[in-house]
Amino acid sequence: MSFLPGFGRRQPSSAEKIANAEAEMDMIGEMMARLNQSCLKKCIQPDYHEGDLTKGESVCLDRCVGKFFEVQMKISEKMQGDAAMKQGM
Amino acid sequence: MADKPPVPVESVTKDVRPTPQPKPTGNPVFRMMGMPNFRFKLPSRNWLIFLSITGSFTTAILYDRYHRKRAQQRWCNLVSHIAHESLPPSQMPRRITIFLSAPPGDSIRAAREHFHEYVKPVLAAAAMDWDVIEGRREGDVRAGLAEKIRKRRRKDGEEPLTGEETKPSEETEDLVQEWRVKAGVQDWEGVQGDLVLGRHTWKEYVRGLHEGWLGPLDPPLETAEPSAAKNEASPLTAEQQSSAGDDGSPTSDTLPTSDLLNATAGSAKPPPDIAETSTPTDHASPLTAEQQLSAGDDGSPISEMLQTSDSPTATADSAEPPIEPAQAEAQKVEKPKTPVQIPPYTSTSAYSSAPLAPTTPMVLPPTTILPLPHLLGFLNTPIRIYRFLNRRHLADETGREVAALVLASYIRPWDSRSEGTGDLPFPGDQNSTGDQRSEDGASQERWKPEGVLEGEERDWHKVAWKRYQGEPERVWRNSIVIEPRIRERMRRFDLPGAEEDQARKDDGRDPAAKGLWASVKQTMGWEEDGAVKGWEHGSVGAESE
Amino acid sequence: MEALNANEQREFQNIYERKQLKDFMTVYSRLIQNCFESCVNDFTSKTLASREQGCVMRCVDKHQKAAERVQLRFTEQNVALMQSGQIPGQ
Repeated sequence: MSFLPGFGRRQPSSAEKIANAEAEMDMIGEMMARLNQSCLKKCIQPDYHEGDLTKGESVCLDRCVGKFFEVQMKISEKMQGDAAMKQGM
Repeated sequence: MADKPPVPVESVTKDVRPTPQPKPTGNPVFRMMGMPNFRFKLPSRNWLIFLSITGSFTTAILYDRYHRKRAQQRWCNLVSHIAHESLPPSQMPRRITIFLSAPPGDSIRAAREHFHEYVKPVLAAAAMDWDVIEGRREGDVRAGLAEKIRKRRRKDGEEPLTGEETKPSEETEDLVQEWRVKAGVQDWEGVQGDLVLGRHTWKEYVRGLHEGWLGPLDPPLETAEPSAAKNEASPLTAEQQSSAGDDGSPTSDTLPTSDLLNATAGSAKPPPDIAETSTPTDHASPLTAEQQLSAGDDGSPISEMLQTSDSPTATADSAEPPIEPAQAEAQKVEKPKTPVQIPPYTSTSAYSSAPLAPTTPMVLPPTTILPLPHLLGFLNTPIRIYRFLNRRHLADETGREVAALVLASYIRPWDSRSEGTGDLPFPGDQNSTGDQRSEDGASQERWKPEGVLEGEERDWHKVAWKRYQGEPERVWRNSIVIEPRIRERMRRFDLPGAEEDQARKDDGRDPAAKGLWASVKQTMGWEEDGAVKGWEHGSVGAESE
Repeated sequence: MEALNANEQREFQNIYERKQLKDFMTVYSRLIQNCFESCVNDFTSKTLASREQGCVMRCVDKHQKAAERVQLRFTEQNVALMQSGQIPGQ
């Protein structure tokens, strides 16, 4: 944890570390909220016949979360690839 | 018009024929209405031929399509009540395993499309979850299933005889499973089931089942050399494991890769009952001799037996081993891409002497075997056209079997016919079992696990039957061998008569689908607003309600 | 994410709790809006009909259970991602 002049990067200060952690938590929280909203909108019928989740809705939710993550992965890979290409150009 | 000569009154009795007037052409009705004169006439002979051929073909297609959709919808309606049952949030839904293998001579796309078209609608209507074991080559499904069973055995506490420590698995699926156990997420309790598509897959399934439960936990001979018999096989590093298809295994990330697992690049040892000719064994045996030199004995009785059976031929070719490593190294460098299929850990002849795994359940997961009709060849085109125009029967049969799996209301052993009752006898089925007894021997065969879908073998491409030198065990070509200890544990799904009748009485309409008129109204915006505008209707919703 | 020492952790905990509260308020208000829009359509009376009450109760139940299920799957996916070495956004 020592400060090495000329090597590596400066150790971030505690405020920075907290800010980073907060930003990460924000991001995860926001993703969770969006995920919740999208999947509930797509999978739950607004009839509300009963208060329990039906099997169809449960399976739909499971798959929705999986696909959401897959989409996110693919988009971030693509954007990273595009950014790398632009830098290389 | 010439004037008629005036006819005197007194000669009215004379037979005077007036000059016939030319009749006006055309239908007088049309003439009076002022419409042009339609002449209905048939088209020419050639047009008639053309229209009759195309018309009949089109009608056949449309008729078949209409009835296929209705047949599928009947079975979907039968099972759709399951999708409305409730499920607690911390419980996983019922999950079946689907075994999909490329038909001989074709790619796995054919099997996948069949699955998507005939099987998936019924599974989706019942809100089932599934994961898929795919097989691109002969033997992949066998390897995948055997590996899965061995994994389960290890998890259940069996120790491999080599005594090496089982390191905690690094696979994503296992980590997620561990997390689930910690978090209190329960798996589905109750029967799950396996679904097998096609006789070729069924053969591999049976072989893999036996290999998994009757075979050893560790590979027969440990080796790091690639198999010399397979020209393109080579050890695969973990990074090069390719993930198998994206075929509808929605919540499973990595299970399709279980058939391409870690590279225990074993040799291609043909089991003794197949090695009729010495040439296949000659090619494989140099490697086994080399393995015997390189690897220690793992102490398993099965592998000892295999070694002794191979050794007579091995000693004859002891001059060859030194050449093999160099060749193998070169191959390793050339083509590191093709994943290696895990060879069988035990052979069919070793079944009767092999000990059954101590963690074998009393009842193995029940199975349903679906037909996968697949015919290739130019000269078979008329047969293929006939099958194409009769897909409704296939859809009905497939839907019935999948509904049987989904409902899981009647699970019976394979040879229950003779006793008349199964595990969970259903009164409606008694009659059908009684009828089967009186049938002739050929159809009786179909009720045995060896004889399921036997007719499909006639359709197989010749690739399934061709022999080539240095081939590994050919699961498709060999006949099915079932050990009694496994046989008594195998079960199959069946549909009780009452539910089948209920399905057949259904008219096959999708209750959620709107009719043509309703969808037109919606598109044009003509439909009345269903929501009650409270201030317009004064009588709805009393305060004391 | 670098490890935080004790002070930083305390501070972070405060921030975390504030955020939790804010998130909860957001979720709460969104839930109310959703359930109101889907369930309550009749304005001939000023109190909720029993049908509407039941609908709202069931709506809340269902949303809570669905959120719980989504949360479980989300965590599983995170576990899977962390195992494969990729954390989203890093």
